[in-house]
Amino acid sequence: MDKTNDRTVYANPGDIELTRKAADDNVELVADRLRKMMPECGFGELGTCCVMCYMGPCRIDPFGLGARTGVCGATPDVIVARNFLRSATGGAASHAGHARELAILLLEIAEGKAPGYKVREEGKLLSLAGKLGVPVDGRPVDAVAGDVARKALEDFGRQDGKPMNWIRARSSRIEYAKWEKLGLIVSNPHNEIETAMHRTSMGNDADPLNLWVATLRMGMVDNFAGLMLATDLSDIIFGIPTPKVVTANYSVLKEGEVNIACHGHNPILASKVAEWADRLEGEAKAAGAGRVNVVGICCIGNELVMRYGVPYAGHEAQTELFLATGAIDAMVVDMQCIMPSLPVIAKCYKTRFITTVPFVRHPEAIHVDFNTGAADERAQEIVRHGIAAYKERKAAGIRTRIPDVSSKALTGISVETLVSVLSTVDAKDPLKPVIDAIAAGEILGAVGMVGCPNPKLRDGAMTEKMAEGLLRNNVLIVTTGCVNHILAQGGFLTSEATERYAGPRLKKVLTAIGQAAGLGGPLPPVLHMGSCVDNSRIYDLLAALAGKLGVEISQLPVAGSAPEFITEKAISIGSFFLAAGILVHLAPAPRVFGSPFAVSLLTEKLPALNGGKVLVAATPEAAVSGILAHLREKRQALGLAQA
Amino acid sequence: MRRVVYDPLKCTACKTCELQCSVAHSRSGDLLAAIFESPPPLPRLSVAWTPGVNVPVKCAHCETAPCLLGCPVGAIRREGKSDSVLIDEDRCIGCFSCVLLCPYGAVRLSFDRKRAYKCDGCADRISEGLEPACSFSCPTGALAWREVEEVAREKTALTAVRDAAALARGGEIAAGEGSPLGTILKMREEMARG
Repeated sequence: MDKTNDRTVYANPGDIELTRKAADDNVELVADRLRKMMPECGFGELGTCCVMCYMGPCRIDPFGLGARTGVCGATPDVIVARNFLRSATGGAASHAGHARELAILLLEIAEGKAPGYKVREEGKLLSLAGKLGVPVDGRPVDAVAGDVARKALEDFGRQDGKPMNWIRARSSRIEYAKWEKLGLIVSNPHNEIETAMHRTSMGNDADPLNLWVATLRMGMVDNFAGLMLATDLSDIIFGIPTPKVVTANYSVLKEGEVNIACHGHNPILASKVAEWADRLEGEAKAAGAGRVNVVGICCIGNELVMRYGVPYAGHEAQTELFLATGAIDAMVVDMQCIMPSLPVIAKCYKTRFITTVPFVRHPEAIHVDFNTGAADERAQEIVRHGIAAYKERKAAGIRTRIPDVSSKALTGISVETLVSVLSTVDAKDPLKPVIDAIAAGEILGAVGMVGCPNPKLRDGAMTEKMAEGLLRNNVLIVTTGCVNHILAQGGFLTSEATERYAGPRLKKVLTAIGQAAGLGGPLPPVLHMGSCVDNSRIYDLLAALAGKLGVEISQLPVAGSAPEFITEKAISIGSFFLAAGILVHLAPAPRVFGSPFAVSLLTEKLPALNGGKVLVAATPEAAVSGILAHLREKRQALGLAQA
Repeated sequence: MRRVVYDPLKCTACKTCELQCSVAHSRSGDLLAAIFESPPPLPRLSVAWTPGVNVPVKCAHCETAPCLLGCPVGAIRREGKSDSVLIDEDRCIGCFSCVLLCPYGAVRLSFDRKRAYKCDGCADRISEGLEPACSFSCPTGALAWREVEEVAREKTALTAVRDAAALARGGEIAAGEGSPLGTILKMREEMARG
């Protein structure tokens, strides 16, 4: 980490300002801890460290002088495959948990047990019900909702080995047949997760290929039992995202207001907090504050911004810095990506740190036992914590600093939105303009940039530089997750970005669409498709494009990239995109290099089998050139014009 | 004068030093590329073990280096700038003399290369203003890049503390018996009081 001085034009001046303030306040940040950790353990980096039984820990000498197998005899190929499967399982478990909460909520809504919530998107409910074989004619909405929820929960409990309802309902025939052939159709997410943990524990599966197939199956669990189920049900309960122009970055915090930051992933809690923030404005005024200002951090920022237009604060790596502003009264979190450092830092600034999920707790946090049956009461309690903390913070004279940095961003481009925007160009056949533009080489291809901000690559502005490189080469970008925050703060989610970064051909297409849609400028070159579970939207879009062309998704000139990933969730999402036959770029390097088998499988054998391929490139230049080469290869295979 | 010094009490034998030493002596200098190199890069130190203690063993770059003195063909020399004892692999005849003479077991023979090899003090890294790979990478500080005089001063101070404790214990035993040690300690206490 000798890159601290390598600040780029993309470096967020607010980050720099608050890093200095945190140093003055003696607050340790993620970058400080990372510096102390470097260099990180090479055995772990290669994936050849095994701690699954107590004959170990075992580590394989990658240079061949020392141990060549673990104490149990596991080869590095087996150790790497087991470790990787376990990470994919961690990610899929997170997404399945997220989705299951929503399925239970939908059932509670149908049964009248969750008075604070209702079905907002009847159209999507009915269309999904149709796909799931749930009768809809003449039935009340709640009855249909109950049956859809039961179909979802049936998937979690299915023991008959039959394919998941969601896979049957939500995959195209051509992809389904391909997965069936490869043995990737899964029946029950919980069974897959159980089996993965079982087979990777001491003395079970020692066939690297069998273990890697299980990883691809875990990808299927992730997408169909996690991402897609969660997106479908979120849309039904909270509404389909619509385009919203919002403000991003630190200046969304307001001096003189009760600032409540929502952090985490599931909109069940945060939507209620946002609602009660408005309803309790009177109490905030009585406490001497202007109003209650809710802002969204991390994926909850994406969920709130694209449905309610809530200010779009920042990404996961900025959470500590947001606290260091001293201007946040309450940070309320649900699950995933919540650094344990946060409640400790919150204490320094009299910020109330509120956990709400039984399995996400911290000794320094206030725990509010949030549940859907009493959602309104709990949300009020949380907002009142913020109001009370505001008074305390003012009385204590906490020094605040809100960096004056902001940018505009167009968010909320769901597939439904995109289709309606494109309908303005061609009402009968909305996807035609995009397909024509791809065919003519005006759009060279599309890349889904997804995932997290990794402090290891943040100083080099990996994500921004990659985005710029791709756009210059006429590649359209769709994004989800915290990458959205990075690119929003870098100004990529605007019409101006099209003028500034897009190559001439891409600029022409986006300008035409923007004008037809009445945006008053070009469509932004980076399309915000939501949170990390909304990668299902990217898959839906690709499936629609492939379906229109009558080809497999793997034949499209598209790629996925997690340019700064951190979490196991990125591993499981990537595993699904590999199963779907898409090139997946990863940085930092996945922990597979200790296994020659894994390297050859992911770069040579799998591409030949189903088109899926891993590209590891830790510099933006290498990533862009690798992806461009892939897109050109796919175009050539389809006989498309070379741009 | 700086040397890599070790503290066996802090070593957890994670072998990161070995790994990072191999990487530092690879052609690419990058772990993910180095593991594909042939022949594979070699670590120049190794973590030795005996129940209760782990010791990262490496060349001490002795002032009067037995390996240097014993080399029959003059393949070992002392490089002035980084003060390291280096093996010139081109002149090495692979005779083992240095291996036998080294009091630490820090010199190895590479059977691939038919040459002796050992820690070169990371002369390349030092000339770039970096510290040796092993101490730089050590996650617990068991290996540290330090001034030898400073280490000696610390040890001297620790010796005083240790002896003082021993004397005090001795004094307790001796007190009241009019022993010479008791008398001396009492005299010192009175002198300290003035």
